[in-house]
Amino acid sequence: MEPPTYLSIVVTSRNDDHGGRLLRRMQIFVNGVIEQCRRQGLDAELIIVEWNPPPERPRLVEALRWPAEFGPCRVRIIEVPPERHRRFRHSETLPLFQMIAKNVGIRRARGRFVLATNVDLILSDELMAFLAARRLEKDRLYRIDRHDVMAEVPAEGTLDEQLAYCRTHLLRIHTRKGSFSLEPDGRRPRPAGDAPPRWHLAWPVAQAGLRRIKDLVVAGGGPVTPAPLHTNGCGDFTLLSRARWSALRGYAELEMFSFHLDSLFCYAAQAAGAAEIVLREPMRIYHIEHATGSGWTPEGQGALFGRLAAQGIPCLDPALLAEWAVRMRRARAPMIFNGEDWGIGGEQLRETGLGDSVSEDEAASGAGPRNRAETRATGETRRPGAVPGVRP
Amino acid sequence: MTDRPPYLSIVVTSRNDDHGGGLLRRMQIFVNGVIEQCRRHGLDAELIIVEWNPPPERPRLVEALRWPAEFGSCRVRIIEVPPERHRWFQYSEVLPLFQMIAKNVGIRRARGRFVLATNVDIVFSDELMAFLAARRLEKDRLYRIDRHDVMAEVPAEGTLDEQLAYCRTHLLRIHTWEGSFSLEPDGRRALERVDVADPDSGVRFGRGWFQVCTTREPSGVVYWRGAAPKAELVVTMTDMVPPALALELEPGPSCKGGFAELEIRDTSERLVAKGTIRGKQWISVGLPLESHRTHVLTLCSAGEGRPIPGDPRVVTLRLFWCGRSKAEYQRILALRDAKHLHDTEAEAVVESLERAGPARAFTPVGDGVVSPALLHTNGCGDFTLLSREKWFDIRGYPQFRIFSFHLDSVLCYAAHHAGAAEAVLAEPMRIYHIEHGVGSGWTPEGQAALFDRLAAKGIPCLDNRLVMEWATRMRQYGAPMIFNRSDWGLADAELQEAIPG
Repeated sequence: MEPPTYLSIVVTSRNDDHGGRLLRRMQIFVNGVIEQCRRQGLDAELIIVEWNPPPERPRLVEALRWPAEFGPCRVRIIEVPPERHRRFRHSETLPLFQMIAKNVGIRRARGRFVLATNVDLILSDELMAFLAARRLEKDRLYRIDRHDVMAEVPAEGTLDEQLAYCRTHLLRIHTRKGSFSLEPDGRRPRPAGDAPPRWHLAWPVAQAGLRRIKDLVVAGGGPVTPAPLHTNGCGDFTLLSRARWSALRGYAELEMFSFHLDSLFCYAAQAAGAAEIVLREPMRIYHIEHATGSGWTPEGQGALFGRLAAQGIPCLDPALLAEWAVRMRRARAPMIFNGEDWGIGGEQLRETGLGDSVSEDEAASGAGPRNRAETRATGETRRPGAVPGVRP
Repeated sequence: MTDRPPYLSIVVTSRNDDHGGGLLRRMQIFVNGVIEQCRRHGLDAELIIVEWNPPPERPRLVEALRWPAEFGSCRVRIIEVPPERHRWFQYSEVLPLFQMIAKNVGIRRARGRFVLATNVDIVFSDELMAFLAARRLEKDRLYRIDRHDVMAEVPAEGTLDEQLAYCRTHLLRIHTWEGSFSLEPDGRRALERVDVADPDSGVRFGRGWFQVCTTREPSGVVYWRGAAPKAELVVTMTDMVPPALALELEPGPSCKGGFAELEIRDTSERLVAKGTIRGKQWISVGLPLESHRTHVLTLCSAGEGRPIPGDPRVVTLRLFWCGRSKAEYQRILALRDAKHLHDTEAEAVVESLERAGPARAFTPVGDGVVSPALLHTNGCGDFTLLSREKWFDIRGYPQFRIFSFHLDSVLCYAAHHAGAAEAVLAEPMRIYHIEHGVGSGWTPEGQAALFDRLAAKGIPCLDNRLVMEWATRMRQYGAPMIFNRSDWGLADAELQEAIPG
């Protein structure tokens, strides 16, 4: 029997050098998680959803280096093959549907709690110690500020050296109130001259919500702005109980660029009753900077949207997100866009297990941890819930 | 009682509060009808009545209704949602029954492979029940049907056959995908009070025609009817000389390029007339048809019809007049003008529409979708049938704490975009709805009274424009919109269940 896992950490990636030197950043992330689980005694599984792997390049299980000992952290690599990817709209221009990919991992997670995050992060020791303390509550939505750090994190250094680098090579911070530049040591610089502060999207989103609120149709009173959630950079850290993820059917699987879909999920989670908690300093996540235009940064926003528009890739309109967020807040009801087959449920996907999920047979046969691939029925069959108890 | 799941669960909700007047009488007809028809057709079904917030001073439904000695192949379950649970909901003090949440309670607990959500004032035609009993339902379908409204005096003490005969001959109106129409005693759709056909010409509008619209044009207020790509004119031939119809037409807003290719065919598909309509123009159609008989002419104006932004309909023709001749039209128009009768009324309608503002424009995302899927949502609360699996997939009706209006439509769009393509059951399959008091449910005539009552009590309601916007989004994203948590249908509540008999 599999030991009960406390935390599942779900990320997605493909070996396509997204954002430049992807493997380098990912190696830092993977090493960090495995080392910190050992250090803090965190019983976790790291689920990497390898979406649409490029056929001409090695799979992640081969492209990354793995430790001889995994400690209490098991690693599962679940592959969504190119044939499956091609069944989605816009698959020819979007090589990875981040949110659907994460749902694949979340749906198959075994932990009591599931953290959806990304492969270019380093978690602070204090954060990992908190997670290992098993004090997470099941009806909460856990969020955290994101610290961006310079790209030259020493890949060959120890975890402590990497963390020390992160603490002293800061670029900016993404908080509930907005995204702000930082001095390398963490101080916020004074805005030069009359340069306006750089507001996080939440503000224009809220404004757009206010403009459209007149058209909101459910009469009667109620809030006219979205719930004041910390959705800034939430794709990098969203932690809920597995039961909550499952009840909400994960992220909205809209076949579009992933922008804002993570926020949409946070609003839905909150509306469904998972109150938000923002984890505080010294708990941190450090995000390793990558090339402009490959993910959202304040500076790269123009380049990113230019690229999307040129390729005809749709994106969720922030005004619409705001309107939906207000509606969810008013109705105290989530908005869910997925059916019961969310996360490619009911389909078998190839899974490679690393770490102590080695079965005794395979261990006895001498198969190394790197070369084992097992296929499981990872998606549940589509079955309506049981008839709840009715007392005659 | 067997534990084997039935084929069909029929879910309704009610409370013994005389809602709409004569509630128990109508409900008795419904219950008797279902049980008798299940027996007649061998339909393995369960009837789930969700008794929501029963008034404490009146008997429960299990006591207030009469039950047969033998239930045959139909099991009846009455599930009670007590007043204490009802009071948890916002607006519970002014809304005694949350129809959609109540139905969800039943759907969630249904055991049938398929689940029909309907209402307690419905009589099903035998043909419909025979179809259901034939077990030919498909699991990835959303089944819908037109609703026929019948007069209130259905003989409660009569046999089912007498009741069905009464329904067939006491029709009031029909609710179709095109809209709601009054019916003549013979079942034809009646002309509206101000319509675009000469009442003496024997012409009536059949399937494919939308309701009469009024718009302001330079010449004044203009009445017109829109036509779908296939629209039927029902013509009863009189001794017209010459046997011809004059029509004033123009291409509808869905026509690309501003013209419509029109073909008119008779009942035997024979071509009667053919031509191209460019701009507003009169056409004359000769009718080589047998006298003193009723014929159906089909106007086919198909082509590349575009939907209207924000509106699911495809309108390929606009009809301004249909009658014996243009001269006759001008005579009728002059009569109207002399009476100053209708145009002031129409002006008021147009002004109120203009005050309400245009429907919100949609920004197409990527694929250019600007309108909802065309579904038959008219009266869908009275008949929505899906597999149980699909009901669970979309988690039932949205459980907003508001008046139930339009929530049933949201469900239909969600089901459709979750992969259950709509199928509209055709004649002679029918549902008859027994008329009740004005203002207690939706009727075209009672709409104002209903909304006044809701507004006076401060009960919120979903706006049709919002429903259309959501439906457009669902179509755009190819995804349903689900508003319920996993505990939908009060899944966690332990509810009392009574089994009559």
